[in-house]
Amino acid sequence: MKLGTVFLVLGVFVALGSVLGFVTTTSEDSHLPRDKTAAPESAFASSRACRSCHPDQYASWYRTYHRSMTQVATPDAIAQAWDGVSLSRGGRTYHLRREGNRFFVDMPRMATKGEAPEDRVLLPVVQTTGSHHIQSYWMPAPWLDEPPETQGRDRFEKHCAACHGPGGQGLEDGERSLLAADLGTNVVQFLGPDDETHLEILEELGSEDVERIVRYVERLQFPGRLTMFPFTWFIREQRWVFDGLTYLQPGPREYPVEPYGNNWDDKCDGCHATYADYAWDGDAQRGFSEAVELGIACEECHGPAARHVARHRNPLERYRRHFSPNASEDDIVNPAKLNHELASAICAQCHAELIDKDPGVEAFHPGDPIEQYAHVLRRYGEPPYPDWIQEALEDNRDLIHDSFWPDGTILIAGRDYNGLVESACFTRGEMSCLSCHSMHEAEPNDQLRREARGNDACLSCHQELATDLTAHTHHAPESSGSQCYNCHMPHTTWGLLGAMRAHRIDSPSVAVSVSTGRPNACNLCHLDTSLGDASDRLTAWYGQPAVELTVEERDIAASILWLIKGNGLQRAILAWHMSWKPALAASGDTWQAAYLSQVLNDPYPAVRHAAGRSLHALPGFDAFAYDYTDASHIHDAAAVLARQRWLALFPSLGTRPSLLLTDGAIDWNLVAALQALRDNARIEVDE
Amino acid sequence: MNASSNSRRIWLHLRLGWVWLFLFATLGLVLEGLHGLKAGFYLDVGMETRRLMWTLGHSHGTLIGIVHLAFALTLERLDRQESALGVASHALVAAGVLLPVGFFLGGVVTYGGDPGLGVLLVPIGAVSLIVVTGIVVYALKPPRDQQ
Repeated sequence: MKLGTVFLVLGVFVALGSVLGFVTTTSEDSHLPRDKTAAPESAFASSRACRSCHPDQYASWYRTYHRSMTQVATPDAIAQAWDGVSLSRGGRTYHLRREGNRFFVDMPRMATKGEAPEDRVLLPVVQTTGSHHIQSYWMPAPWLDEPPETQGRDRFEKHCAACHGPGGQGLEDGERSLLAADLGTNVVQFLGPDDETHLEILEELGSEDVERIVRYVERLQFPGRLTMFPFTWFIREQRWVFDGLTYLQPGPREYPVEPYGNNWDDKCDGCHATYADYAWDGDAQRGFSEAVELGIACEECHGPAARHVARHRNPLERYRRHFSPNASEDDIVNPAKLNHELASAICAQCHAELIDKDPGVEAFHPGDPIEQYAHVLRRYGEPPYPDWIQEALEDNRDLIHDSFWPDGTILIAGRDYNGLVESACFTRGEMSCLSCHSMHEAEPNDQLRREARGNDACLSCHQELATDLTAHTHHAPESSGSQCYNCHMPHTTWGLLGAMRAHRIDSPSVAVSVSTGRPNACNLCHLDTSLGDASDRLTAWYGQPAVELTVEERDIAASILWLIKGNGLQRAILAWHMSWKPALAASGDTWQAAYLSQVLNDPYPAVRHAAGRSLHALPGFDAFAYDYTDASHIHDAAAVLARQRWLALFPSLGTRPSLLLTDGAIDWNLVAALQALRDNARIEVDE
Repeated sequence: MNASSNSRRIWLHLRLGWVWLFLFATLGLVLEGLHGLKAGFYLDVGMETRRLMWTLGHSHGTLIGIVHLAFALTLERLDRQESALGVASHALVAAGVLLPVGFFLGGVVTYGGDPGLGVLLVPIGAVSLIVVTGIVVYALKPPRDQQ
């Protein structure tokens, strides 16, 4: 073969490779966060570099939902039907389209109903977040589909007022101080100098606040900024849901335009991608998102790995390490070798309610205390916060109210570190997140180690209880009442449309329930018993002081009181428990439908969802027609129908005073009286 | 190298070739069996390196068997007898042992993505095989009077 022929063949291969590379680069790729590992002198290596030396760790991580937390929008990531699906909300209709392996949304332009063709825009879906419970979709911000050419007030009206004007959450809506604390700046630069309203607002703010607003507006306006598609795929139920209906809040506000509140690089990227950040390109005068990789990958827990990878490219260095495993390793972090506080801090960077320290503080580095990077939010005994946080908290009292039960226990699911640090197992013992959870040695569902699935997780320290478990639990040893976590970690946090286990490990207390409203484990399982019953048992078994109770609390099942009279969170938690299997085993399953019918028309979508879910799990209601997203008049009718069906199904349940049952009939007048006392104070769990 | 030694060498490589094919085809069957039985020490997460090493051992052993046969046939067709071919014969026997055994030992003990130290036999075997091919290429060069 002549040399020329060899070069010709090589040239053909190179050309083919280039063409393939070109056609596999889609326009969506340009919207993806920039790859931080591609930057010169990057400290990051990405999981791709870890795989060759740590194949088993890579494989075990690859199975987790952490890895698939955020993914490029490919057919592998988007499993459900897409093409041809149409979704509507508030008179706006969204058509989902698929072309080959690319996904699109045909949707109304901002501030329109999208009825005329010119009012519609076709946007690519760039990436997904969530692969376990719900999945959300990211697309280029629709308000950026045309250049902001106007100036001054017109510019504000066109591009900002829809969300930040009257009725929105913004400058003219009494939330100025929150904006000043949270956000950033050059409103003047963006709006132009003749916007007097906002200049007045700016005058009220300090120069530091103005600078923040300038930065914020700058980062809002870069082309291709990703924002969340307003509908979510609810994986568990295999259905689409309007995003505003997936949170525990009184009900989604109806905005004049879609409430595009979730911007990728505003607050979501930090915990849904690895070392994600927003950066400003001074040369191009535009902002951009960047990340080491989508999803939570190796370096999120082990720290930046470029130096480690570079050093271990040398096989002699690798084999030196293989034969001296105790050699110090100064350029990578192994969470398993950290003390319980530092190991837990790694999880805390996402699984905690934190307030970042002042701007300029470096991003969290595994192995460092979390306090070096952020303030861990606490209701009581909080560390002295800087003045600007203290002011922000005072201006935004809901933040504390919506994050903690009155006794200081975190109520948001997934912020488990806030619960852990309030637990004696952590403060007086050496319990860490890794005591029960593992990224590499656990099933992906809840990342629980095999040995932590039962009582061994607790008995490894509390060995004295193992010999006679019943003496401690007063329940049969194999029963759910003898499972440590059922009593010490009840489902009193809320997230992803469900109750989840509290990670503040404590003992059931009727006194706490009465003083704070946080349901106790006894009454969450024994749904048919009153606080008085629980108090009597806790006094007899554990010597807890007797609690002073009202007649109602002593006589009526606590579950009914919380479900009918409680606030939105209590109602949601109790509605959820009314199909919790251990609770049904302990309390029967014939009476709950009567009370669930009373919250099928609850103002909180999360309560309605939990009630519907539980109702469908009860005998005789599996095919009951109810959808929590329907209009309120349909819910009213469903409530009546559910009650009638319950009456027909269970006409003779006898007399059970704690359930308000007399000769099979419920005292509905008393139920109505309790309902009139319902705690309607607003609560909004900010997941 | 005289005719009788050449003949003995041809028979040696023919025998070795078929024996190697027998051994490594059998090993292939064993590896398939490990897949069939879902043997944890071969298929589990974390056993990628072992799986790769043993697969390479199997494939290289089989390949060497075919090279033995090709070498024997080459010797038979050469009308010249060169002493360098004796070196090539020894080198091929060495490569036939070092390559598959090195890969196999490299997979017995592994360190994450790194094979065990037995894999150090592999480059020695590879050099031996390259020596064989070089000598054969040289031996197949046409005599000057035919050029």
